[in-house]
Amino acid sequence: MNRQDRLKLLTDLLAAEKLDAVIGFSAAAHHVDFGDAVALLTGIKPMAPSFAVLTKDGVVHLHNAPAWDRSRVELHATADRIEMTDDLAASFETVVTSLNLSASNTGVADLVRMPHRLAAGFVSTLGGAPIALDKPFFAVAARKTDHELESARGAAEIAEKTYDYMLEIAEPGMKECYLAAELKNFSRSMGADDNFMMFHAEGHPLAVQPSGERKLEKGDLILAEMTPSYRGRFSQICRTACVGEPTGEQQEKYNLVVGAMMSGIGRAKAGVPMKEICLGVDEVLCGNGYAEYCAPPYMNRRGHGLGIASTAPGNVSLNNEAVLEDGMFFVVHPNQYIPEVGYLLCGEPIVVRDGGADVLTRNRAALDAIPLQARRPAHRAHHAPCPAGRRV
Amino acid sequence: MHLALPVGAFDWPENPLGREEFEARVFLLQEVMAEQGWGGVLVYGEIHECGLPTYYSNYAPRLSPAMVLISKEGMPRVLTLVGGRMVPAGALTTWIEDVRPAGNLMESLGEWLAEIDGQGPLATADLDLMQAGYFEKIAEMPQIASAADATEIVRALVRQKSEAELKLIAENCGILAEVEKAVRDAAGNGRNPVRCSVVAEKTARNPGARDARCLYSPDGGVNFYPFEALSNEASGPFVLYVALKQWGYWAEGFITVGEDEARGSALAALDEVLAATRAGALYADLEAIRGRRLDGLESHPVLDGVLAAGIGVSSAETPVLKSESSDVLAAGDVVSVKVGVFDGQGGGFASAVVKVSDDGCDILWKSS
Repeated sequence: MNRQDRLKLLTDLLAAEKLDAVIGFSAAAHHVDFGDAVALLTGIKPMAPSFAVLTKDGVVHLHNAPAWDRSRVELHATADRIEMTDDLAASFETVVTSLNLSASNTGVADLVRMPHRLAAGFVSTLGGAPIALDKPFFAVAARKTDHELESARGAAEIAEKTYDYMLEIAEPGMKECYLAAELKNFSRSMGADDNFMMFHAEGHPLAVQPSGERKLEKGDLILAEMTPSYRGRFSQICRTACVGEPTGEQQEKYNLVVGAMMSGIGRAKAGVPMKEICLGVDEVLCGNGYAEYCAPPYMNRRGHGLGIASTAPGNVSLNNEAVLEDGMFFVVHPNQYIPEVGYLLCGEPIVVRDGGADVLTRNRAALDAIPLQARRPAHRAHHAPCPAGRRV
Repeated sequence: MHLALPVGAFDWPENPLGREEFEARVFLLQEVMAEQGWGGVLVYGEIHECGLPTYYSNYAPRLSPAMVLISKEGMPRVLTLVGGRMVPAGALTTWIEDVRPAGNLMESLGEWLAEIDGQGPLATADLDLMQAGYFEKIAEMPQIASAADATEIVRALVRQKSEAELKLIAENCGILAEVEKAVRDAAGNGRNPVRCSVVAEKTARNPGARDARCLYSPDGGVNFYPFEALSNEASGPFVLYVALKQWGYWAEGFITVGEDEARGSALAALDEVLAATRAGALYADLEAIRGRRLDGLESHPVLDGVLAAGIGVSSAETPVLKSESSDVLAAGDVVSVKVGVFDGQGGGFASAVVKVSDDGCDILWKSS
């Protein structure tokens, strides 16, 4: 799969829908759980609300804001025509007129995520509500391009190194938010352009949460979703570490959840529906007496696609009938509450292949231990600059 | 380029401003509501722009947009648009006890609107930020359809800073100074602009900045780029724009590394502009000084024509001094003054964060 293959899928979609063009919008509100239509069409992650048009003859027009971002956009965008703008509404009017677009011959993707007044102006310019193509538009990017997969592999590598770094520096007494900040810094220094990092710790966690000011304590389970983005592509690993040595029960339950994950991953191959992976996870957990916990609020989803560009093929869930294809990419994570020990995170990013799953990580999730004794002073020095005694 | 999920210190018990400060803000807004006859104010925020909700609640949406619902009397409510499982973490960040997810936006918002029914019309602040997909769910609710836009009034309330806020902003400017020093040290050790932007963000986050964003210009201030990948390319003089946010308050500035004639001119122009920065000053007054000192050169496009703007819970608060604005500086304003010049071949930048007074301004941070 390359960019031309993807554009062909999109122009086929336009032909099937009897449309002249599709307009993809970006609110520049980047999130791991959402696609970005401009990134999908052009490879550019906008810094301000922007849009791109794909016409039925396969030509991509990018209208990117702010105008001063020209150098970056011209360097990286894969668009046939690039217009820089500081007035998106005016640019929209111009392109609608020049390409003779209207509500009846134009599809849109992600218009719903634009600020509502701006979106209302676009609808007015088109002369009515255009055809919403969100689902099929993003679905064409369920199979990733070779370049995207290369980036995903790079992101997975950064995620693992960041987690390893966490194991090196975490210690009791350290505030989780400062540890999270340090990990964010580390992943940046490895080349991550973003990191959606859910990261927190508790003795008996109920779910993973964003970081707070709680200090790590002996017996805590650190829940770490490391989700760096590398060259605009998020990847994710899910890990759990115990502050101090884990108990036998924690170890046993964690092994169970990892086993469930591997059961799910074992079912991933081209031609089977996504829900099969979820069934594979649930089968192990149900078989071990946790059937009643295989539903919210004890779990959320067994994995998911990752932005940017497109989160297709969607969630690893029982209601996802999407048939897996070679080159699809997502994370498989049971992420399960077990009543005896709490919420446990384990997850690996995978690429679907004809014969099975290509797991992008070097190491599989294991219940790690953080030593209770203080680390070397050099490590603590990372946190020494905190100027306000009240926060340390 | 905003990040998908900010990290850093934000829990309510540690907040340096304190509950009384937030209660006073709500009380002041309730006084305005009484004057205007409003029954309630819906204050809206997105993840990437949440200044006004944070001002009233300290709550900063991390995983979904949120709104602070303020009625004429009593405790406000925080309504997060999605993410019920994440509410406990969000609730830790605010003094407001009533934090709830909007399982169904129409129902959850409708519940509050019913509570304030008969007390006067609804007003909204920053609702223009709301995504179309959410707005279409509530647009036909009669109270939303007829709501007054209170954004300008609320922004005016945010404009004047308390002593506690000023202390916090000064502390953030101190972090900015640390960032500048770290960047100069890193550049002295051979780090290029990309690596220096990594150092800048790290230096900002270590003392607790929850958000840190950089743009770097490897060509001496001609083009600016966000961090997208590491680079080992060497560079001559370069410019970094750094913005950091701690406890909901921003500080920002330009740092130039290496001797550069354009930077010198920008710095000299900034000094002259600052000498004229006082209550009553208009954009035209300050722009005339800038233009005269810089031989009429246009402002750099990265500044979008803004010569000075309020800075606090947003990096673009009232007043905004740009060509089409009639805003006037007032005593007590905290503004970021930015001078950027582009002569077709190179750029130069200098900026300062200052507190405006009747007879001048106090510099909290300035490019060196």
